[in-house]
Amino acid sequence: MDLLLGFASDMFFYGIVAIFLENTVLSRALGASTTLWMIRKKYNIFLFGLIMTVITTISAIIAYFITPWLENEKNAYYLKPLIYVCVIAVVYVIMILVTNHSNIKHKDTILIFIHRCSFNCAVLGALLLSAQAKLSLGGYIGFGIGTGIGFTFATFLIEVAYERLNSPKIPKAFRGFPITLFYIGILSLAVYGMIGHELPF
Amino acid sequence: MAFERLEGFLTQNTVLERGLVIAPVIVAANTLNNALALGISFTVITLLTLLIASFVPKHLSYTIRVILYVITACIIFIPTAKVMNHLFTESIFKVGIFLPLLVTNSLIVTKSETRFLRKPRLMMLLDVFCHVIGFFMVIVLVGVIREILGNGTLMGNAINMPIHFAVLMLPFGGFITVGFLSALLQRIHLYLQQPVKQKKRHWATEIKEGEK
Amino acid sequence: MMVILEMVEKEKNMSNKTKHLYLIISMLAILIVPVYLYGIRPIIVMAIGIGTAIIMDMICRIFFKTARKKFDLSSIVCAMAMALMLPACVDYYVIVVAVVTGLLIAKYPFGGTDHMIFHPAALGLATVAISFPEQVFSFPAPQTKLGLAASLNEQAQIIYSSSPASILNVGGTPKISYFDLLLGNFAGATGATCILVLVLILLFLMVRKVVTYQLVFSCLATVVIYATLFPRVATGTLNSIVFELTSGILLFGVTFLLSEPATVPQTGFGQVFYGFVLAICVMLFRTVGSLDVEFVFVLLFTNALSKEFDKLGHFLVRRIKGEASNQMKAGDSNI
Repeated sequence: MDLLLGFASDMFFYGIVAIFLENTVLSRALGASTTLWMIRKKYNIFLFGLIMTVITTISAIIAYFITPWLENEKNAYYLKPLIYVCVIAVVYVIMILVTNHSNIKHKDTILIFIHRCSFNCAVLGALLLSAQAKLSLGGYIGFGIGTGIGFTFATFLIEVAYERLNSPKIPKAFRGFPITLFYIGILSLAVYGMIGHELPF
Repeated sequence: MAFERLEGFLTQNTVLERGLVIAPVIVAANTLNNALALGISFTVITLLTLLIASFVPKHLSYTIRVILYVITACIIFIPTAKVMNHLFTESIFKVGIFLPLLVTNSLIVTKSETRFLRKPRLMMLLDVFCHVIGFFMVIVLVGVIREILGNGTLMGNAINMPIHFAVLMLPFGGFITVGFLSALLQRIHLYLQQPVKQKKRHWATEIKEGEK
Repeated sequence: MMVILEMVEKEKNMSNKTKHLYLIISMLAILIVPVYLYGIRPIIVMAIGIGTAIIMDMICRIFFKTARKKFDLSSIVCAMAMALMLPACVDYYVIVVAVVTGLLIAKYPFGGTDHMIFHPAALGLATVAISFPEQVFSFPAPQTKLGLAASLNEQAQIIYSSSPASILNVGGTPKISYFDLLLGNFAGATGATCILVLVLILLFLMVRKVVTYQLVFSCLATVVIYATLFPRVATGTLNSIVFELTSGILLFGVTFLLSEPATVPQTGFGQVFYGFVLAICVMLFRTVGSLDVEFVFVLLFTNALSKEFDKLGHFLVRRIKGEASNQMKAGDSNI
C-alpha cells in the first residue's frame, strides 16, 4: 500500500513539475519549432498533445527498465541517446502499425502527428531528463505524461495569441516568427519568476 | 540562381527564418564556449548524417528511413561528443542534454525528406553545408552577445563591462536575442523584396539630397 | 459607418488619455509619502524614468512605424509605475534599464499601446528583478535620508530592512503595527507601502472607472479567502489577511497595473475570472516561489490569457441570455 501511495505521489508530483515548473517549451524551448509548425498549419493541438503524451509515456516506461543497466556502463553519456532513440523507434513503429491497421477517425492526421512526435526533442528530452534526475518509475511516468500535457498547454498559450502576433498592427519586421519568440520568451520569464531559480539543463 | 543555392546562410536561415533547432540556441548558447561546442557538434553530426542518409535506399518505407537517419546521427554523436569533451570539457557539462538532443534535430528528422534528399548529392551537400553554417553563425553570434551583455565575460575571461544583465543568460534572454536577430533578418528580407523601381526612387531621392 | 467608427475610436483614444492622466496624478500623489520618508531621491528616480520613456518614445517612433501616432502617455505611466515598484535607494541605471526593457520588448514590437499583450511595467520590473536582485530587493528602513548619488553602494549610512513579504516567505509575522502599515512606515517598494493612500487612490480610480471594480474585488476577495484558509502566519486570521494584502506589490499592482485596456479583459465576467486566477496564482507562488515581486510574473502570465477570459465571459453572457430568453418564451407559451 505504501509502495502504491509512493508511486502515485511521485507520478503526480513530477507530472505537475513537468507541466508547470519545468515546462518543456517554456522552460527549455524543447519542441518549440514543432509548436510553431503545428500552429502555422492549424492542426488540432490537443490530438497532437495526446499522441505525444502516449509516445513519451510508453517510451519512459521502457527507458526506466533499461536505464539502470545503462548507468553501469562507462560510456553511459555517449550511449544513452542511441539506446533511447531505439526505444522511441520501437514505440514509433508499433504506433504506426496499430494506427495503420485500425479504423479510427482522422487516421491520416494521426499518422502525420506520429511521424512528427516521435523523434521530437521534447520526447527524447523527457527521457534524458528523467534519467539525469534518477527518478522512480512513478517519476518517469509522471514526467512523461506531464511533458505531453505541458507541451499541449504551452502550444495552447501560443495558439491563443497567434492571430494577434500576425496582425497588421505588429511592425512588419517583427510580424510572425520574431514576435512569437518575444511572446514565448516573456512567458518563459514568467515561469522562471514563479519557480525562482534556473533549471539545470 | 547561385544566390538561391546559398539561401541556407541567410534568407532561409535554419534558426532565424525557419525557426528550426532553436532549443540549443535559446537555452544552452549563453556563452561563446557553449555555442562553439554546440555549433561544431551540430555541423559534424548533421553533415555526416545527411551524407550517409543520401546512400539509404529510397525504396525503404519512410518510417524505416527516418529511424536509420536518427540512429546514424546517434552513432556519429559518440565520437563527436568525445572530441568535444576534450576540447570544451566545462561546456559539455553546462550544455547538458542539449548536446545529445542534436541527434533529433529538425534538419535530420524532417528537412532531410522534404528538402535535402530530393536533390542530387553534390547540390544536397552544398545546401546542407549552407544551412549548417548558417546555424553555426547564429549560435556563435547569440553566444557572444549573451555572454558579453549577460555575464560581462568572453570565453570565460572578464571584460570591462560597466553593467551586465543576468537575465540574458536565461532562456528569456535567448528568445529575445534570437527574436531581435530574426526581426533584423526579416527587415533586410523585406527591403530586398521591394520592387527595383521603389529602390531606385529611394536611392534617387538620397542622391538628390546629397547634391544639395 | 466610417464616421461612426472614427468617433468610437476617438472616444476610445480620449478615454485612454484621460485614464493615463488620472494614473499620473495618482502616482504623483503617492510620491508624497516616500519623499517624506526618504528625501527627494524617489522624485529623481521617477524623473529619470520619465525622461527615459520620453526619449524611448521619440527614438522608437522613428523605427517602429506603427508607433507614429499622436504622442500618448502610456510610456510615462509605465515608467512612473516602475519607479514606484522599485526601492527608493535603487541606482539610477536600474530604472533606465527597466524602462528601456519594458518599452522595447513589451510595447513597440507588439504594436504600441492599443495592441500590446503584456504590461511593459511588469516586464521591466521582472527583468531588473532578475538582473539586479541586490538592487531591487534591498529596501531602506523608513526615515533613512537617501543621498542623490547615482549609485548608493558606498553610502554606508543606509540601514536596510526586511520587507513584510520576505518575512512572510520564511514563515514569520512582520512586527509592524497597523498604524505604521497605513502610513507606510515600513520597508518596501517606494510606492507600495503607504496603504492608506493606496486604498484611497484605488477607490478614486474605481469611481472614475480607470480600473474596474470586478477586477479589484475578485482579486482582493480571493486573496482574503486564501489568506483565511491557508495562512502563512501563525498569529491569527486577521494578521494573515492584513499582511497578505499589504505585503509585496499586490495592492500597488491591483491599483495601477490592471488599468491598461489592451492587457486585461474587457467583459465583466472575464474580469472576475481574471482577478480570481491572478490572485490564486499570486498566493500559490508566494508559497512556492522566493521573490518579493511575484505579482508581476503572474501578471505577465495572465496578460497572455486576457482575451481567453473575455471569450469565456462572452460565452457565459450568451448562455445566460439564451436561458433567459428560453424562460421568457416558456412563460409566453404558458400564457
